Amino acid sequence: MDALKLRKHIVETIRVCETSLPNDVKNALRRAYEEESRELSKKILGILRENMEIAEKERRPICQDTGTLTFYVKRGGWSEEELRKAVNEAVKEASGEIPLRPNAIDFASGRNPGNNTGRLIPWIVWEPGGESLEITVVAKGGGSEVVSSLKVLPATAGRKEIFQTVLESVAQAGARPCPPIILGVGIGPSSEIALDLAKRAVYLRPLGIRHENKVIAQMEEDLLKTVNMLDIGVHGFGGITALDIHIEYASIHPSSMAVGVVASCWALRRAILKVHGNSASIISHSISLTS
Amino acid sequence: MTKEYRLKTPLKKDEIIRLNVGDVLYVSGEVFTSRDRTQSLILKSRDKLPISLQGLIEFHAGPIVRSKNSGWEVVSIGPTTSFRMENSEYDFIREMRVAGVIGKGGMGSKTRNACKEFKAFYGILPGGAAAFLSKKIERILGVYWLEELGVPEAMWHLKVQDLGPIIVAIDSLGNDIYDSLRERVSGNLSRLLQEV
Repeated sequence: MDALKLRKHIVETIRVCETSLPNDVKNALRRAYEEESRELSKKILGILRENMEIAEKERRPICQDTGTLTFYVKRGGWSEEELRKAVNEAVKEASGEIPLRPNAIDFASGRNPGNNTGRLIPWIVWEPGGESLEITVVAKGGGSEVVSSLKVLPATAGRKEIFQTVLESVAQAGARPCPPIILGVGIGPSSEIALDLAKRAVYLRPLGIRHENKVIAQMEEDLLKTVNMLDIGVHGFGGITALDIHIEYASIHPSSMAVGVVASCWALRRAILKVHGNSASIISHSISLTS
Repeated sequence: MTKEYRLKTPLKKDEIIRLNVGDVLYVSGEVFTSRDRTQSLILKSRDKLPISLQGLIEFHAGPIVRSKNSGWEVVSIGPTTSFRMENSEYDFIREMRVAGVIGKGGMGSKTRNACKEFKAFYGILPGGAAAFLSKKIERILGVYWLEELGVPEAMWHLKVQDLGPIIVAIDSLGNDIYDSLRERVSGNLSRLLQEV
């Protein structure tokens, strides 16, 4: 596949990411609507569903905050330089075409170039492995980002302290991250590892899939139940607070355990482009891209 | 018992006074977007504003637009977190005599006082329902400070049809729907922190 075609496919993946939710998120929202019993919360969940349908049909962004774009890339034989160029150009093109809200502002000059690119942005994370090229696009809005939190606990802390840290973070966030949220918890020896794992926990594992380690999987189940007992609900009107919670962990240090908590709003936007030879598909949405 | 209302701007005082927290509104007529830096620019130029904002509704929003023919069209629009405007909202309601403010997430005591003193309301719109809400925008009547502030923060003057559901979160008596919600969540939190 040539670079031009790849760029077009990335633009299309960004469009799909911004205008339709992946199947796992759609299903979780459908279930939430069926289970929700509070009148106002159910009414709003119904509108979110309607919104999803309009956005997908008319190819309009689901949310006006089209977020900061992050790309997790398995290179599959392409060079970093080629891919960085393709991604940057695709983001510029998508910003005008879809269109996206100009969300990348240069802090030093205060200038907004208007095309969602700038210093280090879009953010690209190079992932190991992958015989073929695989690009995961994630769009994260500001409302759910301002409530991210990090706490470094002593290594003697256990399940109880982790639960308390998460509960405090979610209660503090309240209605701001647009619940029902999807929550990622990262546990590791240091701050940046914990937050990176928390973000991966939210975005890279599909909803409804439990951690492969049984202890962690059980913690996820229990934490989900506990967080939902906070009863924040849609816009704070009570009811379902979290659609799912994922925990990722790394070995900790003998004296410190960092706990990162990252939330996504109900509109978790993720799309995965897979390129194999000359064929490409957006596997998160079961869309085949013909050339 | 919560009620549903369909109202037209400019809103009259008796229409605003009738509203209670939890009521659901659908508004037709004129609204304008305003957030962060927009508010201070509007206040600074209040004597030479091209339109009167009295009786209209301030919408905390930063839309996505695209150019169409010689003008603009709204692609996606939805509420932004209102609390960022809490510090300036009292002055804004007092000076601009808006009928109400809509956004998401709730406001604080300054806005509550303004709603009480100047008979206004604060309402919330569903967040992340921007494609749905864009269908309620009939057209863009004007845009101000676009060069200076950029698309999300410029003041967009909009003609809307049945914009809603807007849930009244602060009414003109100063009742705040989030009081009971905050109490409930903080009660649950203290109990759960013990139990886990």
